[in-house]
Amino acid sequence: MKHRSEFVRSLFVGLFLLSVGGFAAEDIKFTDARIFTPLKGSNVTAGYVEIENKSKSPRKVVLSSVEGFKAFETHETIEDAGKMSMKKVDEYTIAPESKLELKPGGKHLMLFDPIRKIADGDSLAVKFKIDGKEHSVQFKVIPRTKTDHNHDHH
Amino acid sequence: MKLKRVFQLIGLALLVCAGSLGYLIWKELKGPTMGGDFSLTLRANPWTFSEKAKSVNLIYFGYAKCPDVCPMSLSYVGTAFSKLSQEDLKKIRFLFVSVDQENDDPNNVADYATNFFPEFLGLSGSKKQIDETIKLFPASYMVEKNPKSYLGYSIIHTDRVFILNKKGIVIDTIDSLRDSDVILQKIKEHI
Repeated sequence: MKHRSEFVRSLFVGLFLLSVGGFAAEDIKFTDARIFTPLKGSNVTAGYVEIENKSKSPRKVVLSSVEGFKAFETHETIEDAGKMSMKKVDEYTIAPESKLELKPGGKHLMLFDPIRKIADGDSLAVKFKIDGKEHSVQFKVIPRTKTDHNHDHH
Repeated sequence: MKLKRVFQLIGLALLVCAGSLGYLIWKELKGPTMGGDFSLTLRANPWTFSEKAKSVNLIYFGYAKCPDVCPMSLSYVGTAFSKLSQEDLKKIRFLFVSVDQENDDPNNVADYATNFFPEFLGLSGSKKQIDETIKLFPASYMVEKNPKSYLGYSIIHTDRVFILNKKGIVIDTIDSLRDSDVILQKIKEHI
């Protein structure tokens, strides 16, 4: 009898944890993940993505690794009276139930010195830490001139 | 006595009005004065605007290690150029001038410009040449050191295209570089 009640309790706890984990996994959604193919004559390129925070709490996003590049940072481009400047940031914050859009001319991933040839159509693993939890996202490598991009979901 | 004073004031006011009007007419007739001739380098070879200028010339100041704004703006300009006829292309030239004298290799700058359109020219130069060139236009740049970044710096720069006539005089400006159709329309107005 004792064993049975312990089994039922464990089952409930397990189901609860599974459901919490399931919801947590869907709290964050990545779309339009793309990296521009590195250009001839430059050792830097940029990556963009839309991150949706479906939870009711703010989320802090930290870039933790980018496949194929020696270094990577999170940046923000700021326009002031026709002049553009760029600021390095340690993390992005996404407000509850809202989206963070990394897009050209705004927030972006800055990627330095490719360590191998990176070509149009490649898929690169990019990892983010969001409030301590790691999320791996496949970024599609696309040419600069291409305006349409694939929707990659986490 | 009072009447004399009134006439004096009216005379003075008329003089000021006439002077202002004359200045405005002179300014209008004189036309735009920004711009001029300049010398830079193309793949380390001397390159002088007055020797190579076409009927319509576009100039943009940026740097090859710029990851976000320069390639975005240049992509839109490149797209606009790809919509021009062969006949139009003979009359127009696009110049990308790197303001990153310390870090941009002249060959890389020249290669970089061709990513966006094969005929784009990527120009470099000594710091003096670059500074003298940019001073001719309503543009500027500033190197901002950032030891916390892998690159160690970033450059604040004007994000505008200036349209120049054959003498290098600014005849128009493209402020919005986020729409290739707007850029194309501006170009066509001057070809």
